[in-house]
Amino acid sequence: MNKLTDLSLSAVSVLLDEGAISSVELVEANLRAIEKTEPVVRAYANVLADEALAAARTADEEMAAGQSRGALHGVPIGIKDNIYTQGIVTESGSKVMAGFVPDEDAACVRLLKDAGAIIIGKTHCHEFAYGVNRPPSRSPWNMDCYPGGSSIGSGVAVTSRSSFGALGTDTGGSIRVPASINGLVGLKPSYGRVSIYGVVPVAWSLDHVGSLTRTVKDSALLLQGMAGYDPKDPTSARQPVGDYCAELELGVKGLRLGVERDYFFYEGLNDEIRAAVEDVIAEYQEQGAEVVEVSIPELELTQDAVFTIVLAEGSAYHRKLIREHGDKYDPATRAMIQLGELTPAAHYIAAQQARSVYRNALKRTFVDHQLDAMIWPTMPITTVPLADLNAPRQDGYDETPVGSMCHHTFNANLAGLPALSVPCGISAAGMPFGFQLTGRPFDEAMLFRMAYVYERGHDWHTRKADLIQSL
Amino acid sequence: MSYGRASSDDALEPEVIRALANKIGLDVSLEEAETLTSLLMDQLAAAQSFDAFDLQDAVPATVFNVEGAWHE
Repeated sequence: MNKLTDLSLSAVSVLLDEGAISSVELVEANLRAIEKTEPVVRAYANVLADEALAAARTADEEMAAGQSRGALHGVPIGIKDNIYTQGIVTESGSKVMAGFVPDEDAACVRLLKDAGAIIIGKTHCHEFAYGVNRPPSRSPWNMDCYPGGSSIGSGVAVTSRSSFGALGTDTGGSIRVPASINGLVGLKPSYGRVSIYGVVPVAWSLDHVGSLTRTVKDSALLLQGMAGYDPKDPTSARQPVGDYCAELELGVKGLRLGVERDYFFYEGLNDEIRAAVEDVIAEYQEQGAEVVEVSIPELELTQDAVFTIVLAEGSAYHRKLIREHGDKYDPATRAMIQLGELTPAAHYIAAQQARSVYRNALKRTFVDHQLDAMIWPTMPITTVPLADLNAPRQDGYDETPVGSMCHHTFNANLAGLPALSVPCGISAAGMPFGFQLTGRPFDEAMLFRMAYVYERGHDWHTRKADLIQSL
Repeated sequence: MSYGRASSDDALEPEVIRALANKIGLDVSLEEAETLTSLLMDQLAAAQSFDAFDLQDAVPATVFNVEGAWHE
């Protein structure tokens, strides 16, 4: 049998259900991985060894007594540190929240605990998930390179085999960017699908809770565990929750897949990624999907609209904190919050108008072309050395790497549509990348179905960073 | 409609931005004001991208209406 930590979440779930392994064994395996990898990659803000072992013993007792809680029962996962965990320090990557201990769990954490999941630790994030400071986490794929954020520790933990999956949050790409960079599956569900109650906000109207996992089925299982209406969250949707694994095997024959080329396949798209994603599209066609070329000029609105909304809503949340604890913020985060206060209110409203225009255009595209999903690269580039993040791109294209990283992700937050990043290649320089599927609101099942078809035919999800292989 | 593109001729002065920030209760040093001024110039210019589309009659998206917008 493979090392336990090399198995996917869904694979260990089956073994747990069969009684072939115990939850304590899984937690101990993750803790051994943490002991080896953490001094190097620093994924965790807080490892909960004692708490996880205690919860695992309880899970084992329950399962032995025939009281299984389902697929997540006894499975260890990581939680991004901007998500409240009852009785556990939650600092959101900031000295402003140093020592803060929530007296209740975020709704998503409560649901996952109720489903039997074990919290192995809290993962590092950029300060308040703004994505502008430098957390300590390092990429297992290349220690000099940026591992992606703001769910930076969640991506590194799953890549390092020190958790079987991890929760992240995504306001403009903070799950899908680290997923692409680390060769993981990253899900940003529909807006309102997973409660954001108990999550430190970046921008209320753009914030989503989702997951980083090694496989598509892992992602479906985690969403199953935390999706649903939450009366404590005014943004929560009442849409029914389906069975996210039920359609995995249905294939793509007859499905209609939209491809927009002016924006997503622009000049700034790296050649290796372009070729790989074109291959993915061709493969879907070979499998029976119908590829439909579409045009959405309104995509050009999305970057500035998202940035303006983040600045305005984020600054509203921090209005009191920045005045009382301004010296505790990282200077880069503080500058963003100050900038938000100086951004004209009329620009925020214009951004929300742009959002309406874009969303209507996208809806028309889906409806008029009868699309089941759309596809594009998750990021137009692979990751870069940390020192080059804000420098001009080395290929000469007129963007900074950090600007390019969110070029293809902001739009799904603006529209609130579900978006799934799926690994589809590793560059000549040894850095992973992925493609992104987006679908109709609350139709995550379609994305899982399409992604599963691709994943089954490839082994990207089993690739392991050399550093982790050697430890 | 135009927001008026900022140019080097009408660049904002960091001292002015610092004074404005301080007026609304933000503790901004002169050094920070220089960074903030540069960021603000970029942000004000970025908003002009909205002018490329006709937003005149678009009702601003409210914070919580994703569900309704797609299932009306």
